[in-house]
Amino acid sequence: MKQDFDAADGKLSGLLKMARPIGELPPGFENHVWQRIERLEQKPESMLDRLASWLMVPRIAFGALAAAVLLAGTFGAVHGATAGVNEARDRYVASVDPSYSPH
Amino acid sequence: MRRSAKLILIAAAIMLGSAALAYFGAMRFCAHHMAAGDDLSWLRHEFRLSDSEMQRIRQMHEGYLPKCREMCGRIAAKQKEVEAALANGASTNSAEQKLIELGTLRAECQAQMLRHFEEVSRAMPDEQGKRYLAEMQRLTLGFHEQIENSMGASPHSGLGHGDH
Repeated sequence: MKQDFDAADGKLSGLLKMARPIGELPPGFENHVWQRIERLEQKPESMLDRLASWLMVPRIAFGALAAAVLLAGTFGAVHGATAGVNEARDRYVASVDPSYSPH
Repeated sequence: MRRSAKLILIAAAIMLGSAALAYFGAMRFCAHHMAAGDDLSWLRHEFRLSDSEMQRIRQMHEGYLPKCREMCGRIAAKQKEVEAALANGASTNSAEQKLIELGTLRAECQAQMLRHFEEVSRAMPDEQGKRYLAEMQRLTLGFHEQIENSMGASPHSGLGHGDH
């Protein structure tokens, strides 16, 4: 058994010696790898943590913000358009019937 | 407070603030845009009228307004006569007579208004004209009808004229 390992280690060492790194690793690569390993080893996240980690992703955060703004803007536009049409209608009706009261 | 909770609260506040800003901004802009224009701009928009139809209707409207003002003046004057008759302690018959005259004037005013609506509706395409007439009747005559109906019903409060 031990001999098998040694043989395998020998093969691996040979391969590693033959292998040449292509370019340099980016700065902080090791730290990044360790952080990922630590994260994976941590206990499962709560919903709150998961939501917070999503919000830390700029793409998701800006996407959610844009969706909220778009939705609210659409509702506001529909509401405003209806109110504006009603106001214009009431102005016309009041011009032909001075006793008209919209409410 | 946990870091995650803080972060979510801040994000929610930013989102709510931005959404509120977008809602009220869009609402104000659209309300202003839709209400812009003169008294007749609603007709053009609602009944999709052409320039020539609008021109005709504008002429009718401008022809109607002095008649309407004159009628309003007569109604206001009659109203004052009724008030004076009641304040001076004139005979009930005299006050009643004034009230009848006031009612007649109001009816004349409504009839004149209806004639104007019919005239305007004829200047519109058929379907739009019918819709306009129905809408105007609902908004003007229907408004008075609504008040009368509410007064005629027998409400729980005891108010109204249903029990008389």
